[in-house]
Amino acid sequence: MRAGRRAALAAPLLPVAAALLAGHPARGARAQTAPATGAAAGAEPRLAELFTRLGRASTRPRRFVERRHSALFVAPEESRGVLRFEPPATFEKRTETPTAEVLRLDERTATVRRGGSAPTSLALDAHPSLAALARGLRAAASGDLGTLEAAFEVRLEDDGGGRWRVLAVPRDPGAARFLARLELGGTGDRLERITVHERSGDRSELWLIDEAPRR
Amino acid sequence: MTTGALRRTAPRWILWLACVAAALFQVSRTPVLTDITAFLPGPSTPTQRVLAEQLRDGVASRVVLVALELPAASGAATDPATRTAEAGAAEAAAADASLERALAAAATRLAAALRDDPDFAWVGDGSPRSFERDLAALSAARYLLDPGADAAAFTPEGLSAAFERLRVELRGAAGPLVRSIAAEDPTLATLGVLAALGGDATPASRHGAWFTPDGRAALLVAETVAPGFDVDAQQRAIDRLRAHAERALAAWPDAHARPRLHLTGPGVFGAIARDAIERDATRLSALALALIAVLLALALRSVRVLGLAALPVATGALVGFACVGAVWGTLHGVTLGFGATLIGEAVDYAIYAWVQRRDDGSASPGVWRGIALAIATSCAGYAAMLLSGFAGLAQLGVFSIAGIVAAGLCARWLLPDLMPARAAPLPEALGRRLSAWSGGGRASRAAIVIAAAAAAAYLALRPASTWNDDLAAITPLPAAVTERDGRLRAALGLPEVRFVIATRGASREEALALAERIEPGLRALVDAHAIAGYRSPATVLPSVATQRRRQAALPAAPVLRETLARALAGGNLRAEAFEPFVEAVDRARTAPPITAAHYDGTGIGRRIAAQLVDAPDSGAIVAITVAGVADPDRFAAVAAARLAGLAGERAAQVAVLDLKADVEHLVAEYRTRALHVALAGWAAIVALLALRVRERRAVATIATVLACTVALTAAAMTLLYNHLTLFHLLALLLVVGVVSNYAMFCTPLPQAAADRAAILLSVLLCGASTFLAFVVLARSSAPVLAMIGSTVAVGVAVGVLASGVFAATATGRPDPGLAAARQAPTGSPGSRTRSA
Repeated sequence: MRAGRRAALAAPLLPVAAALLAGHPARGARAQTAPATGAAAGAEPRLAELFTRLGRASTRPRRFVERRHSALFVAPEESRGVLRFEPPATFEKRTETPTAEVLRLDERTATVRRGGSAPTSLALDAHPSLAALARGLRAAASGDLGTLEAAFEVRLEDDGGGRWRVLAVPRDPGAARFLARLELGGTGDRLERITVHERSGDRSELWLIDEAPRR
Repeated sequence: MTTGALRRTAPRWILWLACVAAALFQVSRTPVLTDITAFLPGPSTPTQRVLAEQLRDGVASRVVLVALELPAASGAATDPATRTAEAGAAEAAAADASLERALAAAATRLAAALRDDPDFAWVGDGSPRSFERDLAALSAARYLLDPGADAAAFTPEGLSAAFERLRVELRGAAGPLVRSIAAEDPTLATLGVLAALGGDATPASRHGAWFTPDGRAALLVAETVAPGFDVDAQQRAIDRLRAHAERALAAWPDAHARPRLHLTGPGVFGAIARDAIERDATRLSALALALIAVLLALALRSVRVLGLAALPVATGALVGFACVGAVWGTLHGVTLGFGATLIGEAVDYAIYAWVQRRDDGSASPGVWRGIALAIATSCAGYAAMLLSGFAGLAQLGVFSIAGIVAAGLCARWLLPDLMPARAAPLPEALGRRLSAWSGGGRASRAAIVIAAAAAAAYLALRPASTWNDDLAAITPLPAAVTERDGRLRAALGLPEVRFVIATRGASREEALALAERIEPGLRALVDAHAIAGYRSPATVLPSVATQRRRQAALPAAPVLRETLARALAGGNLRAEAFEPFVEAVDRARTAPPITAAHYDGTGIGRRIAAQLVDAPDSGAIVAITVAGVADPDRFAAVAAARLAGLAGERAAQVAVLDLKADVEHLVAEYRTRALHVALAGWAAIVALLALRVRERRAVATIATVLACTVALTAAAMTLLYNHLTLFHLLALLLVVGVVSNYAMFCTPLPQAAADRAAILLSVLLCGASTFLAFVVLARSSAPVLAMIGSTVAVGVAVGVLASGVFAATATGRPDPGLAAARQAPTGSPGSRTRSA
């Protein structure tokens, strides 16, 4: 069946397509020279403090609900699974419904494994959205604001009642072609949500839950 | 000189001046080429001819592979003593990453500089812009290219399945990527096209540049404007490339660990070969001149003889070059290098004229006839080169024949006027020793014959094949260069150059249609792991018939809209969002079929230009390249078997070319032909000698000397080189031509002792000068010249030795007087010499 054959072809082809389709943010990209320590000089003290608190929070596996909003969809697409952090820098996002998929985010690559087919590797340099997700998660899990600030302009909004929102806008124009902004939201010292806003108007919300999601 | 003598001799000198002037004029108008393909056998079939032309002039010949390679020692230079293992590893990784980024940035700068340079037509790098251009061209024609685009794909069921797959993709990790093309290409036809391009190994791209798998070198591909055979223009382009690379790397932080620039490609090879050949031409000639001048000065103790020798040598060389220029219009650099040998040969005639003179200054009887015979036999040897079928060797043949004839004529008609009135005294001691030593007894002759027989037996009974027909043996490129070329080609995913599957048609359409027809066979070869992948222009440029067929399967906009609405009803995808898809399909349905022009300005376009070739007789050839051949020696047969059935009645138009095997086959053919020519040449030389010498014993002796020389030389060369090539064979014929001169002078020897001594001395000197000239040639960096040089040098040495041992007086027997003279200083009874 042709469609089946093409479905089988799609997975291994993604790296090819991905490499060919994505803009490369790296032309003239800044080298990763920001020190891998805490907040850079000049950062807002509250921002720095927030990340320090986030970094100290425990990093046990958490269930997630991912909602994708797109102009192509009638209603947001929802998937669920478990998100795991493996120090120092690796995340594993194991989607359980509706399509089983395992995404591993390393320092420089993302590996996708779907069903029984072979894993495909994507270079994070070539995938600004995935790179943003990885950086945001990593920053929150390890409290490393500096790495986040190396690639994004970061701003903190909080309502004073414990709920806060961190907005990160990409510095690199190549990444900015695809990525509008990255949002981290939470309460106190717990990260509750990461949202990737794309230039196309689509957005992907990753809610980290330990109980039923708030609607 | 008296007035009468002047009047007699003046016409000759005027004629000489006129010839020299004409030759100078011709040579000044003749350009020098260094195209090494002149020494390769020409293609045999028309398809091969077209492809060979493409290799010479076409896109493939203009490609330069560029690598910026980090020096081996660079990389994370942490001091292990002051860090923990873990921290050190992280530091190392970070340092490596920053090195990679810097390298990629330098490669990008270099690519930008090359794009702006008018000497370069196109630059391929791992930059996103290149990818985007390639992909845009493929995507724009996706419904004409996608083999999966048939009527079934556009039914509600087909669309439903495709959109379900899209939905899964959009939900998945690479969702944002797919999102960017989803509205226009929801069935992911572009991915289908990429699948068909399949085993196309693209190099890994990091930070916007191509890298080798180990990440230590950034790669670029540049195409020059100048064609491959224009070595001057290629050299200019290469120099500019180096300058751009210097500038691109100028800002490298660590001056000690600066990346190195490596270049390979046909143009680069041509430049390297040209440098080597040009260096040779001047170096070899100067060296040969110097050595021979010293030899003559020492042996003959006269500086005047040098001046005399210079006349035939210079005239011969000039006339030789002029004849080549007149016949071919160009002079090959290798011919210039070969000119050094002419010095060794032409000086012989001056030596004979100088040494073999009576005391009163007149020439010995028969010396001119001897020289004429020497010229004739040498020409017979060089004639084999004319008939060899290689353009380059034919040039050497014409050059040498014209040169030695001119030198001989000079020596005969002009030198006597310049000789001093009285013969200069010859080194007597040497002459006496030679006389005494020559004509050795039975023992030494037998020794030589036995050694020759042993050599012949060795050659005949060797377990390995004596002959090496591999062209790699005659390429003047260093092994390191060709090995690096192989590595870069593999890293860039470029196909091997050895195998080409060619389909031929009366038009491009026909050739492409035939290529499509055999495509299932190619896929079968991939599935059977006979090859890793293939690249056919028909994949990105289908025949018009195929394109129209696919267009016919595309639905019109209103139909598609309705089908779409039905397929998506009740699902989560909004049909309105895919209006761009509907419009794209409609456009593709009515657009004109694409041609090669569709890919102008993209990397795919360059590949098509190299692989879709218009043949001169208004046909076209599609050249399909393969990569990763599992069993090279049997591939041609296996592939031909699989593809013949598919081609059906057009099987004759499909050819699987194994360029390496084809060339070796050709070389073997030439070699057989050369063997026949050599045998005929040897027979001609012996016949010439027989005519002159008229004494069967003497002829038999000479033939023996020649046979022994050939056997011993061939055995020596086989021991040295392990294999003999076609050029060794031709050089053996040269050996016979040259050694026959010496043998002929030595047998029969004249009776008078002084004359004998003079002849032996002249033979020794001529042999020594020829030996020196060819030993110098053996140092050439062009293997062709080195092979010829070493063979002739060894042959001359053995030949002079054998001639001396077999030297005999006119009776054809060793001169008993000589032997007796050795035993008793005063004459001895019991032996008499008889004149012939």
